[in-house]
Amino acid sequence: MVLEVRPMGVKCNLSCKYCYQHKYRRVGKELTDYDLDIITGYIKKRDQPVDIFGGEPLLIPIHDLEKLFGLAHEMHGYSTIQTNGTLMNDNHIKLFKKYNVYVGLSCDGPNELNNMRFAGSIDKTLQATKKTLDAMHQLRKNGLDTYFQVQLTKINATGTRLNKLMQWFKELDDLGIKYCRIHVIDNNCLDSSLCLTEQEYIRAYSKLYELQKTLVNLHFDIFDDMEKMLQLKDDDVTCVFRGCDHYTTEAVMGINGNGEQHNCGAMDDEGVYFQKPDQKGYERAMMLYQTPYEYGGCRGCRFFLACKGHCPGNAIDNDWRNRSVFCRVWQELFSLIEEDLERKGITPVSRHPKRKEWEDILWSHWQRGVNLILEKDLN
Amino acid sequence: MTIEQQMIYETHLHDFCRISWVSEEAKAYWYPRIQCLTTLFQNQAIALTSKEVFPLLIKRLYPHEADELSEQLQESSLKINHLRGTRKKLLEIFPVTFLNDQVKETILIGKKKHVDQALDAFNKSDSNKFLEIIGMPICCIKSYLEGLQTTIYNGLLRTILKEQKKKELNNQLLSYLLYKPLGLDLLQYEPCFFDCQQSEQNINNVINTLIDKGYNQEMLWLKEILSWPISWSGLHGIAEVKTPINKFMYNIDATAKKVELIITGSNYPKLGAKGLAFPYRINHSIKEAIA
Ligand code: SF4
Ligand code: SF4
Repeated sequence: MVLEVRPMGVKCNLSCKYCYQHKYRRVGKELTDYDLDIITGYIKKRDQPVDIFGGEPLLIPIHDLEKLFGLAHEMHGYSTIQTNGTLMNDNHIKLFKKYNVYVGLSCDGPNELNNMRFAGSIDKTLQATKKTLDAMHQLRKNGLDTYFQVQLTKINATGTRLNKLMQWFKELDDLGIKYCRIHVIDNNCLDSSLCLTEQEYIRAYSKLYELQKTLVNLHFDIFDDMEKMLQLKDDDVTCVFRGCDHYTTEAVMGINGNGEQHNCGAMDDEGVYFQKPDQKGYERAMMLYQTPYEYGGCRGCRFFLACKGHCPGNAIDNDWRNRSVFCRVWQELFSLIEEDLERKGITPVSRHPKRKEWEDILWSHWQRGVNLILEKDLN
Repeated sequence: MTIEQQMIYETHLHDFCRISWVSEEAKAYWYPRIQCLTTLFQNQAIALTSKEVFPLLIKRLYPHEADELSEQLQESSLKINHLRGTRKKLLEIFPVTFLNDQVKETILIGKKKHVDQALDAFNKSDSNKFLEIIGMPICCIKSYLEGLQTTIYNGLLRTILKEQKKKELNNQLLSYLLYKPLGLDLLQYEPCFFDCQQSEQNINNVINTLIDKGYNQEMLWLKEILSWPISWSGLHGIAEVKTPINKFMYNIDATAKKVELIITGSNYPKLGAKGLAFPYRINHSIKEAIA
């Protein structure tokens, strides 16, 4: 688990149309000030790798950023930052180098493909996108590793736009970028017309899956994770495949500049920072396993061990007790990867004779509040 | 087939109740108060039974707890007895929803005459009589016994399902039912419905008796809590309650569709969260209460 540090809460210099944090802005969780002592005290207390986050974290004065990076470096030897890159300058890059900061850039592609990351007008947005990509080049020039967070939307992943997006990924691959996270849009997106349909998601993800096979450096996290999950290699996959307990959101622990703690922002639709309960629990996954598909559950799904109903933050009808609203998309992708594994002579967990036995073991541990790491605990 | 039968499906889930607070401040202020009330009800339940506010008390206890209690009651006018039977038999006779913990025993506590009458009714499988002895109003007995036909053991769920729609109410006294999983247990049965006057009267009796016994402050906290907006929903065997200061979830019968209940409330606590959807609010415009 990383510690998500948000000195200015969800304050940002852009206003991305699909941002999952708008709910917090609507209840006033943007901060204009922060208490560095509270934040550093918390970082020391938690002793977890630090991810500097926002909103936009580069809104913080550089001397305060240096203190945060310095502390994280002293404690763990590195940190990460998630930024839109539009405010990045040479001084930031010096700090990233000095303190071994791994930079994640949020960008949905070049030019108009990134227009949902709105900067106030189309012109300003295009300029902002150029700054983000300039920042990426600067980072690369300085030998710094970077990765991308990309949202699939109607603007960058339908029709010929999808070809442009794929072309951009090839360019990133040529530049030696190694890693990219591709996201579905949050359930609560203010403008639902931006969301791809199920079929559009399937088309886009399938094409990207095929593209990945041709790339040298660049990997999309989702396909790597799904392939791992189908082989029960779940030690370092993303949270969405691990039967997330939506009350504790184990993958995310966060603190804001005023000391308020928060869970993963994919939950908390009301814009309330709910606190973690004392006990973990896997009741959602346990009930999805038993609930018929037509009611919103996962009963009988051969991919359950690999998927577990996926992220509660994108559940059907925004109710975490349902499975993921993107279930068909995941099933389609799992099927593609399943076939590829079988072609390589590997029996995926979804086709494995021991699948039911493993499901029973996982379930019985959930009953005791334990989430097995299948890779370690089943062998 | 009734709507209830169509909606319910068979599942297994352990008993649980997990709480998530809206802030550390709200937790620091309200958690000790809720714990204090829970302990008060537990400790006073026996005293209330000896005053016959509850003619008979039913408890689910671990064997060692039952032994301890038995020793404590030796000098009192109350008698303690085990109620032995299968889960099915127990459910057929009285409305205890949390029977999943097989290790616990079902214990009857009361004046000798009530305990004997209850045991007799239990042995004869006379639910009506048994429920009458534990002080359940006629309307609630009727509703419970009807509910048994549908195998829905959770009275709250049963009553909402009967309405076949989302219910909006403003019955503060009975909103306590939604806090029951946290241990705020003032009745040992579930009212037939949220406006059950007899149950309301029973709750008032308990509160007034406790005020008479000097628990004024505690009863003020309770009334404060019961005056807040609160939402309850159930889906796939998990209920979730949202209050201004916390949310919590626990196991119930599994329903195919979501069932919901809203109690609109009349106060909002100062430490209540700001939020976009009910029961949260962006501006605390209605009367703010004590904390
Ligand atoms: S809610 Fe979703 S994104 Fe957040 S930690 Fe859980 S699985 Fe991950
Ligand atoms: S693929 Fe769909 S049905 Fe299968 S586990 Fe995932 S969400 Fe559930």
